[in-house]
Amino acid sequence: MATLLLVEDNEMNRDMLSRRLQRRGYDVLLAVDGQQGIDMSREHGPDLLLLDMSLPVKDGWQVAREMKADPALQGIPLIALTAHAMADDRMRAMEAGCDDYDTKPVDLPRLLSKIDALLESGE
Amino acid sequence: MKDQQRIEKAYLDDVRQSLYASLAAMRSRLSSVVAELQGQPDVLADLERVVGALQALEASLSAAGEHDDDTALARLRHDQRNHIGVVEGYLEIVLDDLADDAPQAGALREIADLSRQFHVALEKFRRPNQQSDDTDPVSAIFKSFRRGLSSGPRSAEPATILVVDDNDSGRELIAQQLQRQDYLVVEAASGERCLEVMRSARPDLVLLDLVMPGLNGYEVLQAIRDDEELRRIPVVVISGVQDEVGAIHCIDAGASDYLIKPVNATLLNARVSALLERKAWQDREREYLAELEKSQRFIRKVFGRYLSDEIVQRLLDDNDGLTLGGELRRVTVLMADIRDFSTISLQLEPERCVSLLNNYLAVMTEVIQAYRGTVDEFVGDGILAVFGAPLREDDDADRALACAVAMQQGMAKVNARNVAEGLPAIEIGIGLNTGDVIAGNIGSELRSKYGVVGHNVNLTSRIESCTAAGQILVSPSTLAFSRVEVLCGKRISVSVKGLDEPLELSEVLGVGLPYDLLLEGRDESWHQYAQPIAMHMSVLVDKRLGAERLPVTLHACRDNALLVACDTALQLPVDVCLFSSDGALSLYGKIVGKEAGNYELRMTVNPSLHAQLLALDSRNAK
Repeated sequence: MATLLLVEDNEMNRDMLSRRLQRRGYDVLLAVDGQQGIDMSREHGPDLLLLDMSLPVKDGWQVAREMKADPALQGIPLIALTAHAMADDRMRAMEAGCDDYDTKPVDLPRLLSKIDALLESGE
Repeated sequence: MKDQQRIEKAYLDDVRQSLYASLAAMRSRLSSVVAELQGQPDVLADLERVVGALQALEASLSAAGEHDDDTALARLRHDQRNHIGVVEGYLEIVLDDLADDAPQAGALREIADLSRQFHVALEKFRRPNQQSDDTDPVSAIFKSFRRGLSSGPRSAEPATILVVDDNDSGRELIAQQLQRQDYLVVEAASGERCLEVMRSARPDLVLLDLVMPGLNGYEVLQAIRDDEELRRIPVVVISGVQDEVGAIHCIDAGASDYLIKPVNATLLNARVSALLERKAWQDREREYLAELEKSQRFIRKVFGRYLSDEIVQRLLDDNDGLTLGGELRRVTVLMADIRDFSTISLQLEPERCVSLLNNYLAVMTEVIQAYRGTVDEFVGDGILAVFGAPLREDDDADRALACAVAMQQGMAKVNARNVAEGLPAIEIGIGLNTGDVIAGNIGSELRSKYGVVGHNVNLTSRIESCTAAGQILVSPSTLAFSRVEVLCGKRISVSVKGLDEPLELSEVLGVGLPYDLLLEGRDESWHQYAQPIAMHMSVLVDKRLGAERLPVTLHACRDNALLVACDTALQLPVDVCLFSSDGALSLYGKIVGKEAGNYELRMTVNPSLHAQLLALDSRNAK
């Protein structure tokens, strides 16, 4: 089963989303800030990253740019999770190298279809 | 204006009331569930989070009561969405953890329903004229951005979905759900009609009921699978729960997915959007592949005639075959030319002349490709080949040298073929030079080809013009860049227009390992004439006979050369024409060097000429 890395600083959102994803059969790894997200990607090579964009230490934009510039990490699909449904956020997420985006709060079926689409296209 | 504001305020108050009402209903149900589940701390911890989220919802809703401007409302909706997301998420988790028949499950499901109602009401909590977030311009921008990636007019339109069911109410229900998602829905009431619509309308997706009179779903799938065009359209099979096994068989028959009746709207939307997304990718991939194939065909067409298959393949692999713009490249240029071709061509009918040339060019092209050279051009009987463009290799000069020797060796094969067809034997001279040239697709839009131009190409032509029949002359730069052992013969010094110093050319007789090629040794011994044969000689300037006739004597011959004594000092190499005193005999050749005080005249092998000269010699002897 696919391993997802959820990078989210809000404890409640992290807990809730990770558990819901686990119940859908995904292995879920957790990171609480951007730097930890990058480190864990390098260490565990997850199949996909769910990346909150407003993170401490290193924000999601920076994480996306660094990962897409790193040959070892650029193959991992990124889904940006943005709290604001602002035009800027979406465009910026794609420009920063994210493969897709979704808004928070997460609509789980919609997010799952995006996850599945990215995992499938990467196979 | 005032009326407008009053209407808006009344509307917003109304929505706010319904939000409060949902919240109150959720809280009361939740408190009783929490009381009943005191013994289960894990579940309770999650429920506490739901309680917390509900409190936060109420707090932010009451705080937002006073200000009603658009930005404030948007911020409020955003906060509330976050909290309601927490409510829905943890409710789902708790429901998962509890057994289905747990007495609290019913109440929790009611709370989940209420939270969905709250969510719906929340989206209405805005000025009536405002668009909802789902259809906001931002989404449109994003969609157009995504669609911009895939070309084609089709992708700009909403996806078309064909719904196939003989049952009208079932079909309409699904059609309505899809229309709500802004899809374009086409309906068909039978399998036969489904295939018709698929062929004419080319929908992006088909939802296919399994059980139908006439052509059933399974048979429709088989028909689709047999059709090259229809096969690409994803099909979702819809079946009753008792047919689930049959639905799974349909996946084997080519269906992309299946749904069980009654169709759940969320599941339907998720499957439909995932499949449409996948199809969009596949369409893009196919377009890309078609594009790639087209450009590969183009590359093969443009370069196939000039390049070896190996180089064409490497160009295709590099994937930049079409961006061969102008660039400065160090290459080794090879030029070959048939000696006295204009004389030969005058003696032959045009068609036979062409077959002579084709015999020659076919063999030479084969040799050049074997040494991974690029045939740049055939100019009449001349060949221009380059080594090092479009692809540079370390041994470009080596391969060019070996290729030149192999070409001279290959002339035996050319002549065998020519003689068998009753055509004259021919000989070539080859010039080699290494240096920077400009390489690229040169020409106009209507006619362009990959080629090389520049001083070093012209210089090679000049070197080639110094060669005698069967000879290879090479510039010092090619020898400097080569790493193979080269067996050199004569050296000649040539002054070239544009160069201050004379160019020291070397005659190539063979190339060492790994090629190990040696020109067939000609009979190097001279046959001395009994007496010198007196003749006249004219120097050719620009292929025209000079007016001056120099008295010369012939002293010796071998198969392709004469030793000529001449009192006038000649600038070598030089093209000349010899005449017998009686005018009955004339021959063209090139003086390539000096041998024992006499000039060595190389000429095209011509058995009858030698016989004539020998006859002259024996007459003189008498």
